[in-house]
Amino acid sequence: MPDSDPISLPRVVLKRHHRAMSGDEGGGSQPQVFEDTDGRFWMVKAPNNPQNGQVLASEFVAASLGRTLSAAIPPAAICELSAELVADVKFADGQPWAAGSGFGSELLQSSPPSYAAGTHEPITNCASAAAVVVIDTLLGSHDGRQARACKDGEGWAVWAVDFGHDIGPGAWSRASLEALASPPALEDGHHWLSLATKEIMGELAETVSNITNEDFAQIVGAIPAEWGPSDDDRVALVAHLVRRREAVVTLIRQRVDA
Amino acid sequence: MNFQYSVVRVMPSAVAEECLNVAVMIRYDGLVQVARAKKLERIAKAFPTIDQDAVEVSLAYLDELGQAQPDLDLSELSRRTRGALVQVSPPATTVGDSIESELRDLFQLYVEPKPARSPIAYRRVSPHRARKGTVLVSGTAQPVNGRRATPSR
Repeated sequence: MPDSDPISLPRVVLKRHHRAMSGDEGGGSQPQVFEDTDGRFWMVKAPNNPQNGQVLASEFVAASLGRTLSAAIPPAAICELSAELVADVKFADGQPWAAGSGFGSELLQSSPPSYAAGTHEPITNCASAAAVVVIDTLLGSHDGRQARACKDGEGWAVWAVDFGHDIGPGAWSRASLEALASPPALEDGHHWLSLATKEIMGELAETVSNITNEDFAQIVGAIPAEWGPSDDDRVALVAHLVRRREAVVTLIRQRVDA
Repeated sequence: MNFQYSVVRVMPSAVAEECLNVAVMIRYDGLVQVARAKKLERIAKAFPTIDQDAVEVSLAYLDELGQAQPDLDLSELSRRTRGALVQVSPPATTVGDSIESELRDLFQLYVEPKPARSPIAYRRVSPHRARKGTVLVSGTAQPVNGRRATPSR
């Protein structure tokens, strides 16, 4: 898939393994740092990661929507892992990594700290941060919002990381998606929306309302098959996104009108 | 071809665990090559009290080991050097066409780094508003560098 595709993700070939990520840096999917053939560094989640293949699907959908909404999400890609590259790469329990397609999020190389409200201010990318709130609400977040803070001129640019528990708490299905209630409010755990002007929110509402059902279907259809959502679950996911799009736009407009 | 490689680090204190990378070892099909920093000035600056002779001896030992034991197991070497003044990292894998070019690339990355090769261009991927230099605090647009906030879309 070409990098110029406005709503889906590029595909890169990995050539070098660097290290495991540990503690809060990594998380339950036990990602590792790899380098691609162009010298870019990626935090990669394996196709057989301990959480679930659908964690990768959730990441994929979030990152694709992130491109559409100019959200503060690091560039992402489908990462090709050859058998020879992952031959010696193992999870903490000794199980080997599978070759195939992993999900990669470009590594924030300056070792940025975890974002902490009150410490990393002012935020310089408010519109992008607000778009993250919109994506979390659109997908349905099942975990706290993790983010990193990168020094940016006089302030800090926040970058949201780990969307593996959006859509569902790891695994999700038609049943779990249909059981989800409509979002009662925008999921803004860090109060990033307090920094967004009505103008920013109005533009976001417009952009979200312009995402078509076909756009959602294209994104969901591009999720690599080996990550697992069945055809029926994919259909249900598109319906889930369509349903919540209307709710999210309403919530944003209510905020603009308040 | 896939190669195993390890990074060689000088760690003067097994308690403090501060360290500097000084060499890279790479192994493939009965051939081990080591690329090491020509000078140890960085180490002397970072660790003024370090015994540089001891570092040199340890590095020379790794050089010789690479030549004398081409079937050298980097995992075993990593285990053996844990807690030592000069340590070898657990091995990782790199895929490439030649051992020389991989070693050169790894040496530049780990031992003599140039500025990051592909840092995320935060400004480039940030939306228009951030590129314009607008900082928003508590819901109020405050232009930076005297420029006024403009809509991003």
